[in-house]
Amino acid sequence: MTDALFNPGAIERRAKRTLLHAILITLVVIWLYPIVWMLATSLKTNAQMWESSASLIPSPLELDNFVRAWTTANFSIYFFNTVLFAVAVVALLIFLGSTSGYVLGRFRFPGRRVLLAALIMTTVIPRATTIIPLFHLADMLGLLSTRLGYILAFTSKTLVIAILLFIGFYIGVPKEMEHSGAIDGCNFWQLFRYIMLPLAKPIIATVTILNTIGAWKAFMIPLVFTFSRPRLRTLGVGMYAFVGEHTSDWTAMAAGAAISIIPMMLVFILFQRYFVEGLAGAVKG
Amino acid sequence: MGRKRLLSICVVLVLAAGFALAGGQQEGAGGSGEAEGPVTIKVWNWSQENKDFFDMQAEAFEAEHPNINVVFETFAQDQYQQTLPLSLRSGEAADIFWLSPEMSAREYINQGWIQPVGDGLSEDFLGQFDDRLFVEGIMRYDGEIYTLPFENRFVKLHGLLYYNKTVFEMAGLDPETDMPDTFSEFREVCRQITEAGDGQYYGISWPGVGNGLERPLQGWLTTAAPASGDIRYGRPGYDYRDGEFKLANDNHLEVYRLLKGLVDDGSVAPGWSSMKKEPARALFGQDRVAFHLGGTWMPRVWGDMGFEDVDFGIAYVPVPDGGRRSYRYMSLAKGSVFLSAQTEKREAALEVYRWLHSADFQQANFSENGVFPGNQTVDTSDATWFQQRFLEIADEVVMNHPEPVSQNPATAQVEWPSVQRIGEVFAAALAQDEDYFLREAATWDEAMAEQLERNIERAQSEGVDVTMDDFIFPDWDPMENYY
Repeated sequence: MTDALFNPGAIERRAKRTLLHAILITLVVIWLYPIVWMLATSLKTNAQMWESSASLIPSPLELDNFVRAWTTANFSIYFFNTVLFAVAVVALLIFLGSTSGYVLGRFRFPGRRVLLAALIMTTVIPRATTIIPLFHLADMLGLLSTRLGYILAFTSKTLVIAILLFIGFYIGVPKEMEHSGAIDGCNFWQLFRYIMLPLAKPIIATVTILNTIGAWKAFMIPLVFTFSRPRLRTLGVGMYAFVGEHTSDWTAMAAGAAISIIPMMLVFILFQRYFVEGLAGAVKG
Repeated sequence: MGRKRLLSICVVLVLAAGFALAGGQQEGAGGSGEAEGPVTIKVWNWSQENKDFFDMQAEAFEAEHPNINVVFETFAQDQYQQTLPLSLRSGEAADIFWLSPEMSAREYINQGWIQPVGDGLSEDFLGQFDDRLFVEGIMRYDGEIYTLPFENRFVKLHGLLYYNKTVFEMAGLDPETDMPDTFSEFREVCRQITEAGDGQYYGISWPGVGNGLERPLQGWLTTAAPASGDIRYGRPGYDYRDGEFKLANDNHLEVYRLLKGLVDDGSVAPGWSSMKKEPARALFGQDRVAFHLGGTWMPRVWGDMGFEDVDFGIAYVPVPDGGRRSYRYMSLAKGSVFLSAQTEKREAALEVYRWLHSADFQQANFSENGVFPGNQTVDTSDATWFQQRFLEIADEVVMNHPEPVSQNPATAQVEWPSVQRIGEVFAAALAQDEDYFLREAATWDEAMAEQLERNIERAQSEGVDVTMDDFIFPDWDPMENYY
């Protein structure tokens, strides 16, 4: 024991580990500070926020910010809209992305390369230039001022990335996985549903987290698709209710942000393991 | 397995509810004019702070006009500028909407997005507004009145000098006797206050990020540089007397020297170069700076920020040591409220448009929000002390300058050049030296002149009868009203 304590190698290892922990703890503190600041600010008055902006201890507690966030920004309605929006977008993306990704990743057919190139090319088109064509398309289809309109518009915007993620995953799955299913008598759909799709959990988690966050903070599409029906708007739009012509209600905005990140945190906690695996490119059978 | 099944059921239920509610059914923009019941008139602007006021006024209006339902919608200003054109392209825009007075309504007319209102307003009603504004390119386009002055921009001043009485007192100064009148005196008072503050309070705060310095400049330049007397709605840096851009001249240089001197003395609150406008304003509310330059809306801003008790006064902006060389030239500002060409309920929309500009509405808007009314019949005798001060200052320092549209209405079709905001030129130079300022200002002058020449040539090639001479007024005396 004593030897181990005074072993130069062990001391060096401990020192390295301590240093590493110190660096990581510092990074975590820096990383968490904005979130803690936001929570603290959501409990301050506007004057307190300006007078002791960096302080993380609100005194006295100002709960009225949450009331203003709930009413001024229509959170009571927009919260429900946002949940619906995010769930629908993610469900559509997983269905369309996984099926398209499976076919494009596992099968060779005429025009596949062209299709892939076209998909990749769409990712370099600036988003701002697509909003007007999307708007006109939705108008022609009678989907303006409907939830379905902005759900489909947002899905179309992010679908390519989801497809590419699934393609990348399915390409790496050994052919033996499908062969074993075929031997067991699976048809095309059953192979996908019972063998390939369950393998893609990390990608499903990645698509779920990234797009839930995306849908949660979406602004332009939910706004421009609801000009005639403000009640259909989402939290991303509602947050701008605190931005005035000359001044902004920062504490109510912080309260709104505090309310709106709770579902995000739940989604992340639920899918965290798969998300990390997805980003690491892990494949588990 | 059970958890999975539960999760699947939840997702399916939410989706089922979502798609049931999502539907493809569209709701029109307030329904057609032939629908039964009251017609809905939508009004859009970016005054989010005043949303409650608008809603309250709408209720009163609806009580008197049961056939009309008024819906005010407000947007953040940045988003408004992006979304309004989109909504107009799709026919989803409001029946009445605000446009920034800095923008020309010409593009909206060319696109067929707005319609004249003059034929729906009686002579008697039009007589309630400043008739100087009913000129081509301001309120009138192609001979038709498209808009009315919603507020009195001759009084809505920018760059007013607010002073903090508490800070003066802490520094042992008396605003009554120690208020600076000249640039040198101002620099000296700021230095004294900063010295007395010993790091607790400073002479002045201003925001240096982006175009933040524009507001203070809107004060300083109006006493020193005729070519920049109205940098908000006018043509900063342009001298109407000879048609030249003159940012690189002695007048602007003198203002630069004042600002640079304040920076070098340490009289500007620390961090100004990376400071945004709200923290700079907050320092004044916290009694940490003696001076702040801002618009007529600042008292309300400090109230909204939680500094209702700040003890302030409003002074005249100091003039150059050699005496005043310039005034605050307010352009004949364009209107802000327009009637959509797409409205299917023109009569009802006009009724609402009249009401927004009526003495009743504007009186309430003045009393509640401090918006100086465009309708001249409004009684402003119940103004607060600071509103009265604004009126006094405006009366003393506001003048009008030549408007090219009054000489040739076709000048409204020439786009004014836009290179870089002069606030940015000054802010960048404050971190450098005088030579840098003069060099950058000269580059700015050259670029502006070239762009103006190109824009005039382009207009000429499109058949617009306009020349550079239409923008020159050799007989303009900056020390007098032009009109």
